[in-house]
Amino acid sequence: MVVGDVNSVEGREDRVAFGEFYRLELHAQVRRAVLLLGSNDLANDVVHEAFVAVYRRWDVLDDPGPYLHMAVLNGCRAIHRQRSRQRRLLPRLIDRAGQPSDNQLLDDLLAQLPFNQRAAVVLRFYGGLTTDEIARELGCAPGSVGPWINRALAMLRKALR
Amino acid sequence: MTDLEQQLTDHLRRRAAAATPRYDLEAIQQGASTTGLVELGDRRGRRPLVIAAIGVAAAALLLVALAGVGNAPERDELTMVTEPDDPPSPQMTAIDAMVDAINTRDTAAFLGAFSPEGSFASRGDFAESSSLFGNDLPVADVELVRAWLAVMDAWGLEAELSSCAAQAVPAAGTHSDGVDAVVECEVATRWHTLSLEITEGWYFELRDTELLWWNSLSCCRNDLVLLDLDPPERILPLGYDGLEAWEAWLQAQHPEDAARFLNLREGPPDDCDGCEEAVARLAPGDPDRAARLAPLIWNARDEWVIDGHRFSPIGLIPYDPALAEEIKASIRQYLEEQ
Repeated sequence: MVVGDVNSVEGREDRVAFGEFYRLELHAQVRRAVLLLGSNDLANDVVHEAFVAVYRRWDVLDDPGPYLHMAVLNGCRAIHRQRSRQRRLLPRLIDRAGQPSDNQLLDDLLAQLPFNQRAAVVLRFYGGLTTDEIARELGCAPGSVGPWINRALAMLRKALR
Repeated sequence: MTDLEQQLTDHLRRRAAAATPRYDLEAIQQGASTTGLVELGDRRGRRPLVIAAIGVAAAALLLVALAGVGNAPERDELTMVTEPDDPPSPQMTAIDAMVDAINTRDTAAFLGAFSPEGSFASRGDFAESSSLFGNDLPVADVELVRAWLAVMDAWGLEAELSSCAAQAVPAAGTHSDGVDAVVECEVATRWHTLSLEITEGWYFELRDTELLWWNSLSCCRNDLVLLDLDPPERILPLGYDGLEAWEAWLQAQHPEDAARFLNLREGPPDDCDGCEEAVARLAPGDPDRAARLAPLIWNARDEWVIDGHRFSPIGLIPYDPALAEEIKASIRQYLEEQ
């Protein structure tokens, strides 16, 4: 069966079910992606591309939630990789006319963190996840999570001092 | 919670609250989104791959291939068949059609991607195969191809091409006659029934726009096989180490199920001429790893029957597909307990 085949009963039911899944997941996924990327537009792009991937596999995924979760995370990681490269190649543009607000400063500092550190911080302090849950999300050993968060906090603390 | 952690928590909540989702269900259901989407996992660059092997037949193929090694291009000479924004090449159209056919279990479309004399590596041997070579299934054996797709269906295979590269056609050593194009692809294979995802190298020989030979697990003619058993960016929870951990858990916790589900992976027989060298090539300079990989590409101990056809699987996924649903439930239980 092809998902989205509106000529079949199954296709119509799939479209309805996917629409429901989309409505339930959209906001939470975009919020998380915004925190990982710092950009509303990029976050929406990544999340919608992940939904496209889920939609294409809708009839073979028993539980699309984890698949979507991982696709969004991987998409954010890919964007982060591209931007890391851009940061190395382009001089940083800083508005020196005025002091940045605390919020701007935190955004700026979060953007400087390696992806795994940023993701671990977001999942812990926004998502409220445990170390084991974060390790599962990021596909790493639980022993890696604590050091990532500690290093991130140390860097933030030093920069905000 | 420290002041900094509280500050961070408050900041993240404020930023999340300011996020504004773009509601665009219709575009998704048309298979595309509205603005400049990031290509996720589509023709990605090559990841570091681990060398493995396909078996005695491939080893024999290598020996033939070595005769033409002087003509073989270096890896640096590889060129992308299709850049992300380009229209697909005729070769990629055929390969994409074959991959789609596997994913949709469409026997007619799968056969249609091949030349009538084409064949492919079937991850094991059908007793009735008309081929003289192990792990080689001619597409002319239509009923066996249908049974093979049923095996893939039982394990929930989804294949996604990550990157493909054209390779110069060697002067000697191709599997098929009349080859005018060779393409190697890195492929994420997701076995949803097993919650398993690995990265395989797939090797294609084509004439015009038809496939003559497809070797799964084996990527590069002279490298034998490229395979990443535990890709770090996988979507499904288990890499191959995870699947083996499930097997160990099953044997410890549910020995009766283990006796039914598992199928002993065996290495090459002691009296196999040339096998020692073939095993060594699986992981040059690392005999322990080579010995570990060998059972994945040799036939497992037990054969089973699929749609009335006797099949002797290689060790990568050696389980009987008749038990797929029970195995799936067992893996689910294992994952929940971890």
